[in-house]
Amino acid sequence: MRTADRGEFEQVFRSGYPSVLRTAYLVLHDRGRAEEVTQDGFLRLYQRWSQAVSYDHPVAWVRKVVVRDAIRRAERERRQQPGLVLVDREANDRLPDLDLLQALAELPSRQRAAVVLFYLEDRPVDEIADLMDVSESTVKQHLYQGRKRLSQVLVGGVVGDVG
Amino acid sequence: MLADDELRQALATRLPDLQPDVEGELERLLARADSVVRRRRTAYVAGLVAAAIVIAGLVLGHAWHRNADEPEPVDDTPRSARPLEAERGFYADPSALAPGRYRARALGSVYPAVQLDLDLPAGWGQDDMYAVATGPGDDAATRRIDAFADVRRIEVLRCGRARAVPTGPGTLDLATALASLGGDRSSEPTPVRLAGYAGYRLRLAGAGSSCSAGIALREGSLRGIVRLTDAADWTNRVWVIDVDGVHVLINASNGPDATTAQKAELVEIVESISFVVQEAGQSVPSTLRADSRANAFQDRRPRSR
Repeated sequence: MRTADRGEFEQVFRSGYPSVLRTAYLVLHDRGRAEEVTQDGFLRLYQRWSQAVSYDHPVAWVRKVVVRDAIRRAERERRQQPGLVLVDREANDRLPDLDLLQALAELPSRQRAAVVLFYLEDRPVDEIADLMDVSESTVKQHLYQGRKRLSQVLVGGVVGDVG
Repeated sequence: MLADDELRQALATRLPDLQPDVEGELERLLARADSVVRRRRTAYVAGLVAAAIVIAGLVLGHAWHRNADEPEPVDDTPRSARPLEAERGFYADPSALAPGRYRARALGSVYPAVQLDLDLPAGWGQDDMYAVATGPGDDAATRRIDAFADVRRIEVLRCGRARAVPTGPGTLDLATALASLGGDRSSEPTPVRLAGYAGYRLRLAGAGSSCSAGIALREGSLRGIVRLTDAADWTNRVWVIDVDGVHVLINASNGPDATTAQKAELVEIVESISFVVQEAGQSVPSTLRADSRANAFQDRRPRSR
């Protein structure tokens, strides 16, 4: 790779890595594996940089790769170890809301990914649908169910379905 | 139910801020990318050389006058790992190995003997303590990999005294017991698969002590002990894998001066491992006997740095 290309890649990495890592972490709930998945995604971007440099949003491409990989891993691990939730101690330096983190971890992995992408990464519904390879109505359904469950934790008490 | 904006704000403010080491991760990624390119180039050149050799062999060895009764030659030579050599180096001076795929034995139980095939890049060697190492025992930049089979007991060494640490029968029990012994930079066990076998991975950091200290593993069928952790600032990446019922523990350790790229290489070597299980009744090849680490069961405690 040419020095100039490498410089451009490094810029994209620096700007995109923290948010992609956060998405992967919130899907996987394990910092080590989230770092692995994110590294793998950016490595693939690096390896195809001669084509990727022309993308409008190289980070969006990486996010797609990483989220799909993270969902696959989360689903596989959930099948292997039902109910096991790993909360990374290092990641809790800012005293996060552990109930909220736990509630997020308990959402089905696809629902969790949709919630993280929509509410934290501000991705539009059509992009999330493309990224997760599902229809927009499925994404909306995931978001509704996720919002309902998280509201119960944040507001407290049982929340009725008011349609 | 919360409105979209309310939920968005709650998630943004109440979830953890990971504060990643972006520069460190970038360095690690670039090192991985360079390593992949190097491996591909090496494989490409090796392929060209092999093709040239095959073509030369075909041209030179071809019987230009056809003999109808002669059978076609069959090449059934499998790609195999080279066994580690009999002449090992020493703890203070490892013997250098050419880059390639090697076979080492996991110390411990006799049968089923578990062997590991792994890819070693340039810069690695072997000594009489560890399966493979990059430098002298006490060099702060040294990296090592070793493997132990059938580990069932752990002992903590503090200032020459050993204290047994209880463990359960499973790989998670063993990994959890080990995780409880590390320093502040240690991590909890996380599920992992290595060469298709399930297990756990964790990181142990040397806790440090004013006198020699370490964690010893007591093998199931042998009474020797092997030091796992080293002095303060040493890091051990440990895989506890269930290989057909045998608990295989792989430790990839590095000193405090190892670079990010060197640590990444350490993990890549472990990820290249495939296991070979030898059943009872099969003779142990001489090459495997040659791999035994003469001093591995000595209680070599780390020197103070």
